[in-house]
Amino acid sequence: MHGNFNETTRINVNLGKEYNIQDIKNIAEEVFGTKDIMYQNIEKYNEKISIIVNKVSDEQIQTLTDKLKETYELESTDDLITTYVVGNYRGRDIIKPYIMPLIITTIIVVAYIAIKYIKLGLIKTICTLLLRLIIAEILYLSLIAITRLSIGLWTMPVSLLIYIVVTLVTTIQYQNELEKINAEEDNK
Amino acid sequence: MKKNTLLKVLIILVILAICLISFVGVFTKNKNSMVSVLPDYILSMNLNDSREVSLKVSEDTNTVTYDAEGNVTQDGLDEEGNLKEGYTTQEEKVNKDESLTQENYQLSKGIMEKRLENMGATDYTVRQEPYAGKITVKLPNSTDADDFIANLAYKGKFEIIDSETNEVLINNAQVKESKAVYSTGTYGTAVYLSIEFNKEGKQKLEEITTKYVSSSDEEGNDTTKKVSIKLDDEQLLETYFDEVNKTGTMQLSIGSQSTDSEKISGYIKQATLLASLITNKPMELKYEIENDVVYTSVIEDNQVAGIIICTLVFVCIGIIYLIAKFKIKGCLAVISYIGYIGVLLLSVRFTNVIISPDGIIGFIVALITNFVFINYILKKISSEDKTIKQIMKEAFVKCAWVVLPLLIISICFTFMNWTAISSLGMVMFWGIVSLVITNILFTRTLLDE
Repeated sequence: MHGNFNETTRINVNLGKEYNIQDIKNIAEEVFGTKDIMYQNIEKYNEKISIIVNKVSDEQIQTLTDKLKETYELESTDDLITTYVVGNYRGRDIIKPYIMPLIITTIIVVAYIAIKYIKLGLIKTICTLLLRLIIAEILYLSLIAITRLSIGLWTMPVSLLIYIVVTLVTTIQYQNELEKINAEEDNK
Repeated sequence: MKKNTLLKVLIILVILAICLISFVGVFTKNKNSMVSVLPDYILSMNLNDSREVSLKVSEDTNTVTYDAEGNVTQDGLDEEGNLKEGYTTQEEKVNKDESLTQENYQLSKGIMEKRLENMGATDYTVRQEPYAGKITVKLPNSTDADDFIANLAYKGKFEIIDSETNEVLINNAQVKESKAVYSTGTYGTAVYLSIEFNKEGKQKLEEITTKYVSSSDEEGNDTTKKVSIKLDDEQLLETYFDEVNKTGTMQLSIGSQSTDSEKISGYIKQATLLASLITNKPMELKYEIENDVVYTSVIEDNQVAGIIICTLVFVCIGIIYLIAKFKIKGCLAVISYIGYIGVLLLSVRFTNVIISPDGIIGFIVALITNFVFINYILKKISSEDKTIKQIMKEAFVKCAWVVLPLLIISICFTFMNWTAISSLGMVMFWGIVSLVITNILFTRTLLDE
């Protein structure tokens, strides 16, 4: 749930007195019938809490209000709950900040590899690295699609991890091959 | 032999001290509480406090006055404050119904994103509820957040108008770029809002600066024609021009000349905020702030905890592998490896690196790289009859070629104007620096026979 970039509803609860997280969790899980709920503190005092759920109905909000009123013996429920929908974070918006840095670094890394490992074949080294990067990222995206994992906070960082690890592994392999070729040439 | 053992013990003690400082911390007593001497980790908005503002399309209405011919007029009241004869008033929505389209919602979102970028925000998310056009902006809860948020609700309508006739002479469509500039002179630094116009705007500016100049009639009465510079219908200033402007760039002074750096940075900030509004197209819709809430920690953040636990599990597996395969040398290498983690965490703290989820990935990359390096050295030691000095030298030469792409990635990412990416770059950079330092100081000494 945390870092989920889908459309969610924020229910901000202002109790005016210190809340107990376990009470809030029990009430929320009972009202919304799911455990897929995120809780976030509002400000520094433990008097306001934000409950984040995927979808809510007016009846559920009313039930939540009633249960909170009963549990915390509240006299008024006028400003108790504020709700608003947070729209989804579009895939292209998530990817956008990463495009330029990845293009720049890939061009420089490919240029470095092409120069350093030219003995292994210019086209071969460049194509192998690029193909590996593309295939690894496609596999990762396919995995997300197959397992129906929601696009979230960790989607792009993990994608970057794959990008870096593939680059590192490929460079190690090229370095080993180059050392082998150099050793063979020295032996001759 | 004795000297070598003593050195090893000393290195182990140093590593132990570094680990204690890094993992536990250093605390001093301050007013009956223990305060950490070390700088805290700086976390990005996704891992720490964030400010979330929801902006809704305004439902306000304006009273519009029409003259007898049905034209909109500003001057509809007579001397007694009553509506002039034949004039009518009508309550009109600020956002007309026909403007409430998906296209305009999307446009507003895009403009807000561009404004944030122009204002120098490096970490934010802008999300839109598709049906009502409501926009939610999430920002780090920093001192700049107030200014950023205040600027989002503006329509950003920039106009230079004739002060008398209200004729629009120049608007956003003629603006090419706007930015804050400053120049330092004898009396201090002056800050300007520089507005560069496009070809059409340049031509218009030349016409305006020719026409709107200081003048007086034969009797000496002031007949100067003036222009008003307005932003969202609010007058920024009323002025005339001393000379013809053929450059196509207009500079408006912000504040007065000063030598006070705090004042100057305040003026620059003010000019930057105005520039972000003027540079971009005005929004078709008027937005207003509906909610503005500071969210603190996420309660029971399982994902972050999960990633950290997974990383620790893999580190433990790596440690067990090194000890099982290389026995005593493996143990010593593990001590160096733990020292590396301590040094990396300390360097990240002292260099004020912002840690984002991408930064955590940077830690994982650093841990993998150092593991590969240490494993390579241990393999070489067990298979080749060379001194540790020779092995380390060879390993560093090989490592340099292999790690160079990582260094390129880390440096490129570090200079990117997006917190998540720069965080990854900085953590990786310090990971590489720590790798070199700890392996020269710790690993080489500990594995030396």
